[in-house]
Amino acid sequence: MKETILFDEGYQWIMFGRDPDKPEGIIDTNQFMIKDGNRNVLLDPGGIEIFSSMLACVTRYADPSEISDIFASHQDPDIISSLGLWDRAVPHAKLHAPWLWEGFIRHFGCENIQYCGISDEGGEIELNHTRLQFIPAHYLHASGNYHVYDPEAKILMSGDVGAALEPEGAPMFVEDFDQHVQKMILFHQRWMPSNRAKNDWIRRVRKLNIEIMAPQHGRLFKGDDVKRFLDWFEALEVGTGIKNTARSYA
Amino acid sequence: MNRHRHQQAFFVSSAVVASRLRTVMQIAKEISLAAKNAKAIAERAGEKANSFKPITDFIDEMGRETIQLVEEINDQALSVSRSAVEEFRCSDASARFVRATELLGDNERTKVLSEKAEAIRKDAQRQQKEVHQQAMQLLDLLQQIGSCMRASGVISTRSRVEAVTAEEYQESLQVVAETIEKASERIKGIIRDCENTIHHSM
Repeated sequence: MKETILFDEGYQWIMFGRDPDKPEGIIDTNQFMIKDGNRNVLLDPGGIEIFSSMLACVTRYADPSEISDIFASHQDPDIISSLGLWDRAVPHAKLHAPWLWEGFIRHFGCENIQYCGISDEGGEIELNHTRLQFIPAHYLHASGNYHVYDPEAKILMSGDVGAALEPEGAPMFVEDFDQHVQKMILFHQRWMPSNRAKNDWIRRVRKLNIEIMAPQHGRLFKGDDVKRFLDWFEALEVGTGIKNTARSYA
Repeated sequence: MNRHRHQQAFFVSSAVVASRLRTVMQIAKEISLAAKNAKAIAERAGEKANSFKPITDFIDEMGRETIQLVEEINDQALSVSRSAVEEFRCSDASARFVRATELLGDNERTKVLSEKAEAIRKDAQRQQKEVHQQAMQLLDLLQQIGSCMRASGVISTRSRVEAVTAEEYQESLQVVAETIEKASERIKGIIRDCENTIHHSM
C-alpha cells in the first residue's frame, strides 16, 4: 500500500492507498492516519479486505497500543467493515462515528472499542498539537455523515465528496482539474442525493481555510483546486438517479 | 484455505440440521396424536383392548420425549452454528493478522503484531475445540432420538400383536400401529441424514 505524508510539522498526516494487494472488483480507497505523539487517529480505516495492508502500514508509524482513536465518516463497508478486526488490534481505542449509525456499524463487530456517537451538529477531539473538527456532511452521501477538518494542517478529509472513479495506480493529487472533472461527475450525481444538503455543506466549507481536500476515493485536491472543486460542485445537479428511474418507467 | 472451507461447511451444516428438525418435530406431533387416538379406541374397546392400553401410554411418552429431544437438539444445533461462525471469524482474523505481520516485514514492531496474531490463533484454536465438543453433544442427542425410534419399532410390533385380540377394533388399532411405524421410519431417515451431515463437516 502506498504511503504519502500530507503534513509534517510537529505531527503528521499520512495517507495510505493504491493497495496492490487489494482483491479485484473492490473500489480503491484512501485511508488516513494522524500521528501526534501518543494520540494516533485512523480516519476511515477501510474494509476487511485491506485490513492486513492497513495494519502493517499503520504499525510502521505507531505501536497498535498507541492508536487512540478511529473515525468513521459513515457506515459504508469500504469505510469501516474492518471494525471487527480493529476491535482485536486496538481494543482500547475510541470510535468516533455518526450517532445515527451506531446500531448499524456495530454489526461489523465492536465488543471492545468504545463507540462515541457524533451528534448531528458535529464535534471535536483534542490531540496534542491540534483539535480535530467533525464537520457535518449529512446526506453527502449518507444520512449521518461527517468530514474531518484540521485547522492546523489545513486539511479537510472530505469522505465521498470529491471522490473520483479512477483506474488503478492513479496519481495522489489532481494535476489537471478540468480533465479530472470527467472522473467525478457520475460519482457525485449518482451517489449524492440532495442539492440542498450539498449547498449547505459548500456554504460552511467555504469558510474553512483549506490547503488540501482529501476524499476517500481518487485524487486529493491542493491549493486553488480546492476552490475549483467547490465551484464545480456548487454548479452540479445531484440526485440524478431519480430522473433516470422516471425515464425508464415512464 | 481448506480449513476455512471446512469451517464454513460446519456452520452451514449445523443450521441445516436445525432446519431439518422442524420436520421431525412435525412427525413427533403426529405420533402424539396417534397415541391419543389409540387411547380413545382402547377406551371404547373396553376389555377387548385391555392388553393394548399400556402400549398407548408408551406411544404417548415416546412422542413427548421425541418432541423434547428435538427442542434440545434444535438449541444445540443453533449453538454449534453460532460457535462455528465465531470460529470462522477468529480464524479469518488470525490469517489477516499473520498477513499483516508478513507485510510489515523486518520492523521493530513486528514482534507486537506477531504476539497479537498468536493470541488470536489461540482464540481460534480454543473456539475450534468448543465447536467440536458441541458437535459431539449434538451427535449424542441425535443418537438418543435414534434409540427412541428403535424402541418404537418394538412398540409397533407389539401393537399389531395386541390388536389381533381387539375384535372389531382390530383394524383401527392396526392403523395406529402402522402410523407409528411409518412415523418412526421417517424420523430415523432424517436423523441418519442429520448425523451424516454433521460427520461430513467434522
